[in-house]
Amino acid sequence: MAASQHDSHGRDMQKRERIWQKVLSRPTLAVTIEADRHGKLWRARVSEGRIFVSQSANDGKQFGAEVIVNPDAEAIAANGENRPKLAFGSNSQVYVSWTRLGNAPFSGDIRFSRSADGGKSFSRPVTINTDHQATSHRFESMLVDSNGRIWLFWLDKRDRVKARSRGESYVGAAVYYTWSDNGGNDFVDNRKLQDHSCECCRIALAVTPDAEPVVLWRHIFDGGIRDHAIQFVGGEPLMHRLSRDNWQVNACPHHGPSIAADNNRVHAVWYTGATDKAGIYYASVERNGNTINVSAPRQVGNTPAQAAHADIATANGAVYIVWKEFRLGRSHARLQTFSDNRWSAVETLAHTGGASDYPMLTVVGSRVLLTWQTQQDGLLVIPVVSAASR
Amino acid sequence: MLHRSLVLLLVGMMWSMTASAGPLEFVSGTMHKIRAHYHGKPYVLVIWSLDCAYCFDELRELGDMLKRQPALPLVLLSVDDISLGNNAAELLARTGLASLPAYMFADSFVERLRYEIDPLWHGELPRNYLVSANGERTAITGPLGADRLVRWLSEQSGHERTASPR
Repeated sequence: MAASQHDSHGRDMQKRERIWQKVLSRPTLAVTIEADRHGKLWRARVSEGRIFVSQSANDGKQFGAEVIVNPDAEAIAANGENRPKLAFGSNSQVYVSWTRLGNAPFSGDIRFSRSADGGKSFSRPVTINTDHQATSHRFESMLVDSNGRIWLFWLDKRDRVKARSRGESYVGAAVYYTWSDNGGNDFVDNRKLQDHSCECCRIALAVTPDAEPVVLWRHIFDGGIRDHAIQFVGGEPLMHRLSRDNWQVNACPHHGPSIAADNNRVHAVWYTGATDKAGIYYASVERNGNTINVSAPRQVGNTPAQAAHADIATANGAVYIVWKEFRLGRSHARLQTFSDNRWSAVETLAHTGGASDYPMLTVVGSRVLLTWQTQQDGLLVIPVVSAASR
Repeated sequence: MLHRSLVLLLVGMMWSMTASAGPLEFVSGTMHKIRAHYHGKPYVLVIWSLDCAYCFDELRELGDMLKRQPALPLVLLSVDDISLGNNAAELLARTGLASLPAYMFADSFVERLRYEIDPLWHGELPRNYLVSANGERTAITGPLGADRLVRWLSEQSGHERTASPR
């Protein structure tokens, strides 16, 4: 009897693995666009299990020859919340990180490759999570600070596995991280930032002017409340609660936050589905020793138009927020700007009549660009002009 | 003779269609058709995905419930692309839900599909809609829970009884 139970369990697992693998093979609109230190735009896109990196000399109108990052195809996550990341060193280094999805459902590993020759060639990919368990290490985010240190943060379920093996339960995932001070030659041991993050929302990263990373993520607070937590990584390991929407839910929002830092403050946008207040919110955060001051959250966008997936950037002392809305049968990339202590009117930067990726902002020196991959209209790259600067 | 073989052929075709059709296409306008089909009758729309751990829990629970109450008025909708139809069908068969009407997104412009279902739904999963006979709708994010479903269904049949003498 035990044997037949075992067999049916094995068949179940095989079926689940087949399902999972097919999920991975779907074509995707999710691309990554980043600007290097010289203001050149780079693109990373995923096709058939490989990452193709290329650069543009004309603000994304065309991209040059593509270079393959990973010679051996692997199941690379490429969707709204989880896509490859690009970052740059000060000496023509190009860094690429991504999530390689595993055979078991919801499993994955964090992968990293680097180019020392300005993207002409890439190193053999390495796995960053050192526990090598077939569980979830996914949704990585990467940042290079002004000292050239490469930071990687990701959602990790190794502690959940450990708890389960002891017959205990574990809520959500954990935020883990590591860094490299030698251009990605090696990384310090994996370490845990906090337990009990939400499982499938992207992690938002920014760096303060004094090279301190700030991490913003959807956390599972007591009672199953999926609000946002923020942590400055340099000092005391203190997690602060950023949002108090009290969204109590046992579900996958697939809807992570975004963050940007300027000289004085950190600026955050996030989504909550909490009853009677669902929508996108903005708040600024000031650090005050071991505490933080959070401004009163301000709603952004039109919730009944499905306002979603906001991205935030700062430049020239202004704050820029873009998000997606659906109205009159089309998806719109909407913008609102905060400068000189006032909010601009909301404007539409672009719209498209088909499927689209998240609209995103890229800061290129003092310029801010909207980049938006669409099915019908290709990659839209649109300069964002703040209302105040007109 | 000819007549009989034609009938057999037709029956055979219908059988093979039901056996291999897999999930139905959910495109722009499908939500409207589902609403029209259930007009005046209570039903539950259960929205799920292959990429959602909480959805697996919910489907398992609904499958167990369906064994005890085979007439549950459930309509399933997977937000995965219909190219994954076999995978969705496999999972539904394994969770004992193969007998239910099951739809899958068949249009990559998912914003439009979501809008037609509910402008206030931002894609959280699982997402459930309890729709009463009069079209009144309650949205629930996260697993429905067997207890809640049973309670709601008994409320619905109560309404039907009070309404029937008229």
